[in-house]
Amino acid sequence: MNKNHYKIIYRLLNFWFCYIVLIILSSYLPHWENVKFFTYFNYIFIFWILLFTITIALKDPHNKPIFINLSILYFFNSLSYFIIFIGDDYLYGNMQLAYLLYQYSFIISSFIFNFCILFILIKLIFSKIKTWKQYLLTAGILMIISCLIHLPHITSQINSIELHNKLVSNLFKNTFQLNILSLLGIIFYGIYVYLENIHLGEYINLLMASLFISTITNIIYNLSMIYHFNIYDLWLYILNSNAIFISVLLYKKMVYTYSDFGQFYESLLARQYKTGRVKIIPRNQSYNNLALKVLRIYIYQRRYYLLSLLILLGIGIFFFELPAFFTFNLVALILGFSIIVIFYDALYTKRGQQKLYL
Amino acid sequence: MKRFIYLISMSIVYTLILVAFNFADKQGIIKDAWKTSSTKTEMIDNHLIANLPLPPPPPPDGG
Repeated sequence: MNKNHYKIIYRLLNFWFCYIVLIILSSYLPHWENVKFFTYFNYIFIFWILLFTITIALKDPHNKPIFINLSILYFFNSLSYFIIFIGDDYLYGNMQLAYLLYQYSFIISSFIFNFCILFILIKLIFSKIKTWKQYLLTAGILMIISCLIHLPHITSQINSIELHNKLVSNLFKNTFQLNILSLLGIIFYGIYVYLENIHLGEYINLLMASLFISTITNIIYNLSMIYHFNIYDLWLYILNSNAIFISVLLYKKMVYTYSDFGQFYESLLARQYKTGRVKIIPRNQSYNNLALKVLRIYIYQRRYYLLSLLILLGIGIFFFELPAFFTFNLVALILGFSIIVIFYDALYTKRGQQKLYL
Repeated sequence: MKRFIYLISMSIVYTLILVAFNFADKQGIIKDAWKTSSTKTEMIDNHLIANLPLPPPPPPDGG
């Protein structure tokens, strides 16, 4: 950390404190009484992530478009607290205008979320084509799919209080179908990275891992809204932990991007190794290998202990009739984390064996 | 060529998932499976129940 880094961080903290003051002031307005502490916490973290993504997007020589997309996503998400002030009439289709606002903001935010993930996949697969063509390809694919999914429901509006369940579940059914696309996108990203031995730069794989967890929680949230088994609070705990993880990750990425080494390495990646015969040695590879090895050995040595813990957890869920939303999230998170660990382990073992320095 | 194979295989998997989900949803398979496995705590959606609009009062008998 040099003086420059402190300057940037102090500037970001100033913006962040201004936002917190704005939120505190807006808590005096009507409708704020329904907001829980963790929702408040979530808005603050989303804005913190937004600041990081903008800072990285300004300086990153290789992955600028990815972070511009992410900053648009988090900007839109940080604006979502305006939804609070329209009350909760939108849930029942009571107030046409409130419902329309809710519907379109929800559709747009899910579109941007899916766009971010699909863009990273397209950038990885078609790395040699120009950026505007990558944007066009991603937007084209996503526009066609979202029009096919959303249009029939948007054009047939139902103006009845009794049909609020149908309105909301249709909306969540559509976003669920779009989120499946981004989940598949992340899985195919992993497969492509593993098979082709290429990568987009430092921290992008980790970013995809955290987006994988976000997509899983989004999918479960959508399912819970379609089939009515929602417990809102728990979802916020998962969202907040993921937001903390992403903010730590982005902080590290920001420090790396603003360092000389980061600038050099990422600009080499951006030029696709065209600056003569420069051998690139991966950063932190041995550390990553070591951390994964330790984790693998720990899991292997404690296998009976961990297995019995999982069985006990299963029996506990069955015996105490824990809510389905909790169970779904727990199972999906355990599965998601296992997939991420297995993927990283396989990737680094392969790279270590083949001495691939990418 | 390989890139397009990735994209095409992804779109085939996606289409299959969408068709399967829509079929299961229309036939009510997911809902039935959900109902049979549900417990007393799951079906309660406190937020929705607490905020449901009240039904209109019944008409007085006999005028």
